[in-house]
Amino acid sequence: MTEKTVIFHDAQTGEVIEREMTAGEIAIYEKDLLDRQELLAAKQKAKTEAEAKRTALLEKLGITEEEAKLLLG
Amino acid sequence: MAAGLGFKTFVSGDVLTAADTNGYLMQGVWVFANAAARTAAVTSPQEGNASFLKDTNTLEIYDGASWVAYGSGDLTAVSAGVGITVTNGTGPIPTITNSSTDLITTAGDILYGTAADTVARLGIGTAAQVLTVNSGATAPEWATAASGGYTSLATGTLSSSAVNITGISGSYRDLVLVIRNYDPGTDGAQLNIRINNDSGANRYAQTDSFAYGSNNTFPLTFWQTGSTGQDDTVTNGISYCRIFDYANTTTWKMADWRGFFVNPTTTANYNWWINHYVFNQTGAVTQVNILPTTGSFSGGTYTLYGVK
Repeated sequence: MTEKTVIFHDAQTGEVIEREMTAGEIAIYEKDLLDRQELLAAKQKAKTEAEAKRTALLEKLGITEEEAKLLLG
Repeated sequence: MAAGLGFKTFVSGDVLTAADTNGYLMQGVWVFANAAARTAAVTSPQEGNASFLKDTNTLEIYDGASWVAYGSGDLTAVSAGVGITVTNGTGPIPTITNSSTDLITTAGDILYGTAADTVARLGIGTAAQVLTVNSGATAPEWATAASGGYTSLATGTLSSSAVNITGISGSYRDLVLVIRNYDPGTDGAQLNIRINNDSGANRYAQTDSFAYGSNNTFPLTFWQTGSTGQDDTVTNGISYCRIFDYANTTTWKMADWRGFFVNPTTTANYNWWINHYVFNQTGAVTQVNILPTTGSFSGGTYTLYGVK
């Protein structure tokens, strides 16, 4: 597994240091990945639910999506 | 009384007429006890007539309309006021000098007050400097004009799994982070920004553009771009994140972040976002952390600006 590194760029001195992530930083990194996956999952879930509701409503009304756009336009 | 006729030299044999008497001989200085006596005696004064009033010891001349004191308003002496020096003040020719100008030694010098009735010299500044008030608000001084623009605080290439810009000066009004040509190590990865390397739970939130709301929570541990991520081969995207009033220590922090990525699926298209971001900590922002949502950076640049 490739070592994960992190860059520190000091805006005061201009010094740039790249070093391996510490165990604590890697833990945060891994947690960020999980958080992101949860975030994406939540977004996807919300999107899927909205699409399902829209499809159900169109079926109930008996019109196509294009016809709905015409109505709302 | 007749008007004065000027001056005439009488010669032997001349006849002294009444007109000559009134026009020449009577044109001296008439002496009266007072103005009333003069009025009684001289019922039709003519311009140029002269009289001396004994009660006031004044010499008066009739100017064609009234008797006026001779020499009225003339200066008898000149004295020095503030910033003025006078030599030979009682004449006949006083010399008056503005002593303040003695302080001027060089072209471009200006004078300013240091106290009541007191002036001091301020030498000219250097090219393009502007006149401003000193930090104690006690005197003017020359200073370099504020640029009012963007000052680059840190710039570099995106690599590693995170870039932490540290040591951010608090002497600007806002911070602007510009990320150009972001190249994710993993196709479609987005970007995250973290403040002060704070990964605490429930500290970050973001809202879609044009949205509003109330009673919002802080569900995130970072700020994130709000669209599908960046393609890893066509990397023409750019984003601009402005963190407002970042150095204050009394409010939560707010940012606007906008930009676009090249669509990872159809690289002729783009994904864009304009989001508002909140970080619920009051400490000054001294560190900005840039992270890809997964993997490591493969390229791109970052520049952090301080904005006056």
